[in-house]
Amino acid sequence: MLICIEDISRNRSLMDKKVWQPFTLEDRQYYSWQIGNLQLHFYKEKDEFSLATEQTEEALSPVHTNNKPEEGLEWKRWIICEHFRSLQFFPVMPDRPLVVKTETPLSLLPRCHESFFISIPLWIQIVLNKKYILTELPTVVLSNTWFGSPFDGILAYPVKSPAATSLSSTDIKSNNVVCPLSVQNHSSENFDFVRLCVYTDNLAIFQGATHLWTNNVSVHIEGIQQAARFDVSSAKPQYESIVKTLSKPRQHPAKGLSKKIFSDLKFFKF
Amino acid sequence: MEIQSLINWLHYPVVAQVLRILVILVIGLPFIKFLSKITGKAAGKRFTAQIQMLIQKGILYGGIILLLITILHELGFNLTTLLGAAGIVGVAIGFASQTSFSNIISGLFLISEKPFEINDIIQVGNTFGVVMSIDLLSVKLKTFDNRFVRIPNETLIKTEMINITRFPIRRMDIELGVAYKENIRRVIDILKDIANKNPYCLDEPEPLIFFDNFGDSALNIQFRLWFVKENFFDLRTTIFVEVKERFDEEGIEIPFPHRTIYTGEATQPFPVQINPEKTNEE
Repeated sequence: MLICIEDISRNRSLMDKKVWQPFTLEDRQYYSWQIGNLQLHFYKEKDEFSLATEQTEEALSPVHTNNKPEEGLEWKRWIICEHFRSLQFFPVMPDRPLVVKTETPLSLLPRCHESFFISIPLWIQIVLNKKYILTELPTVVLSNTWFGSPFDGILAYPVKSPAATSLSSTDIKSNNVVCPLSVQNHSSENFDFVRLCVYTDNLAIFQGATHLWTNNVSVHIEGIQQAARFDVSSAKPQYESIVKTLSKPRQHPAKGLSKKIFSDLKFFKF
Repeated sequence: MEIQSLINWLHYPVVAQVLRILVILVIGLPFIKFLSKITGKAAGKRFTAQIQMLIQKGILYGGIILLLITILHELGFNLTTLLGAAGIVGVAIGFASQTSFSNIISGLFLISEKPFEINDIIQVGNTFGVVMSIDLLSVKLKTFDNRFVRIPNETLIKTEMINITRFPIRRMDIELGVAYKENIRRVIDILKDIANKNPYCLDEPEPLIFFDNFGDSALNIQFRLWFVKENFFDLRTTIFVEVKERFDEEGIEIPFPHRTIYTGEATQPFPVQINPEKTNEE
């Protein structure tokens, strides 16, 4: 069922399922939509769709207006060789892995396991006519970080997290998704959780009653010098009732994959 | 009648031989080129661009040599004698072209040692460029102002060569000077903030900012930033502007050398002329 954009203006929460449903575009009408720090402006005229984006200071829940945007925006245009009226947003995971750095040093004692809730900023995928993916945009522009050695690491986005063990103490912004992470230290040594790399390619996004969720991720540490084994569960997270799956993972989850997930990143400084 | 005379003409040994050679060339050359191309394509999926080019060239030149040997055999040359003669000629040519042989040997070392690959950016002396090809005699570079540079392999073996894009991330070292009156801790905090806000500067490895030394007219600070190799130009063009703008905003003085001009006599004051019209305009 298509809903009009006027309906969206009343829905200010990502949890409202209408936010993620398609809506109809009228010819020669400007639209604006804000989520987090990302403000989207779009315009349709016959077979042409135009989009301009800007990052704002204030992070907001989805807000819609029909105001004509200010001059000076850089517009990008798409020509669609078929009749189109339907526009839809999908929440997607960032296009690179995330390096989660704990706000305070955290150690996991031998043969200890704990669940953490990590809040991750979303990306938005813009889809026309339910099949044309126009672009993907971050709701918050994150800086760049490097995970691994300077010789063969990977480029990632940094995220600072309190690594909260309860959902109530997790700071979840309106444009964030919660990643439930279970860390199991099977080794006989203390495990210092300094930086954790979350590979986002394997994560789907689910709409829960109060939050957006990713799959459960479990990390098994067999030894400090060994690569950690991580599993992405294909089951829906069990922390609250799940309404629906909003987006599939970019890649299918691989079970029991051993990867370098933790790093204390000791560089020689000179 | 004409067909009969054509058949008779074809029976002439020389004509038949020429026709056979033409057939070898017409079929052989395109076949070798085709083989070289498809093998190169297949190799491109599994190997680096450099190995792909080596395989392609190996098949092409090897095929042409085989084709030449076949043609010479067809012409009735005794290959054993020919190869013997070629050996003698080879020694003579070898003496005459020692530099070329040196380049070939150096080329083989470069290929086996792999100090760089095709599409790497290297610096040799004052020349920077993207490696276009690594051949037996020389390495071809394309500079950033779109010039073609040929560097003999022997030169590359003998001189210092820097591979700028070998590793995925790099560090940019900037030396900054601030006036002696400035609070050094505040300057370091401001530089940290500039680095954190620059989108091309990596969070980790974290920027390295430290007070280096007491300069002649400034406190020298090292400002070292890590970045992804592709972002070199973006970081360089933004960070200097950001430092200057922020220092101006914060009232931090960047000292620079002052020059005093004398008119010839050190004891005489410098003559200053006031233009009343100009002064009134201002």
